[in-house]
Amino acid sequence: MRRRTWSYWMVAMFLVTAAQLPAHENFRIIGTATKVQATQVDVKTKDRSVAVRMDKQTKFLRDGKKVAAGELKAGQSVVVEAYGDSFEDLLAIEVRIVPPIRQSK
Amino acid sequence: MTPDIDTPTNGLPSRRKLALTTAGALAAALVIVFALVLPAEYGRDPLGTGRLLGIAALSAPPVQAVETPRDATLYKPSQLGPIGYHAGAYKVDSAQFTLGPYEYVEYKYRLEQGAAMLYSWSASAPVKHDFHGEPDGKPAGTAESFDKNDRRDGHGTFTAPFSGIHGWYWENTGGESVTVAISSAGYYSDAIEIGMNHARRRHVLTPLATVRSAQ
Repeated sequence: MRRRTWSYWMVAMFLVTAAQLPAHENFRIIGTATKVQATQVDVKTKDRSVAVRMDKQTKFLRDGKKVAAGELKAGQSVVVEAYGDSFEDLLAIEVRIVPPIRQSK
Repeated sequence: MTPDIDTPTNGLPSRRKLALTTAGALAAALVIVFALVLPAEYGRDPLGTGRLLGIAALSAPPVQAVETPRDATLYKPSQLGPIGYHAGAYKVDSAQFTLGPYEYVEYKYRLEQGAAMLYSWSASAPVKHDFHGEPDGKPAGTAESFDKNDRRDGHGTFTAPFSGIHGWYWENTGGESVTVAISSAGYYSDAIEIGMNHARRRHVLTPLATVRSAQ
């Protein structure tokens, strides 16, 4: 009897915890790379600055073709497809290096 | 001496005058019957007076309005043959979006299964486009594409195959801004703009009565 109660309690706790987990979603960051590090790129968009983590799975593209991570440099216009909970916690899935963007307010 | 029958006695009209008056009354009654009563009451117009006086329409049978099918609601139709009946008037909407370089937007209407809308949209340059629907009761992100082709405009009618939100994804794949404008009319209950990075904004729909009163 005590074991069954414990099981119900565990299931209930799991459900409550799962419901509170933030839903991961896709984000698109468009702007200028202001700082490029091995594991992070900072992007200045038209309304904020966003730091996006990068890992070994992150793809780098230019003109639709894969390029080396080293091709990404500060000052370039980029479109970053990222995954995460919010702008404060994003992992880059793909970084596209695009022709210079004229940011309009 | 016998009294003259045409001579009034005691102030009463003579028989001749009575006969004339009766004949006149009968003639007047006949004129009224043929000129007014027959056209107005029986739809017969031998003298053409019903048409001339505009009273022929009075003889038309009264219109018995049939009620809308009971299972029809404002947003969910009752389908009878090619007609989807609704319990009220449709709504109209128009919206415009400016997509900066590489930006996208989604614009969707809530339609019940079987409800219809007609639409026209156009963009200032070709855009990546996906006309799709998200069914109610399915996990977030579940979508069915109806047309996934790059386009510069789209015009058509749409009948929702399932209840949910239905609409367009437009993406500017170039480095210059693009403007997308849409106009529509239909039995939708809501319009939602889903911007970049999941920002949602409801649009106010215009009832048909508002459009009529503005004309």
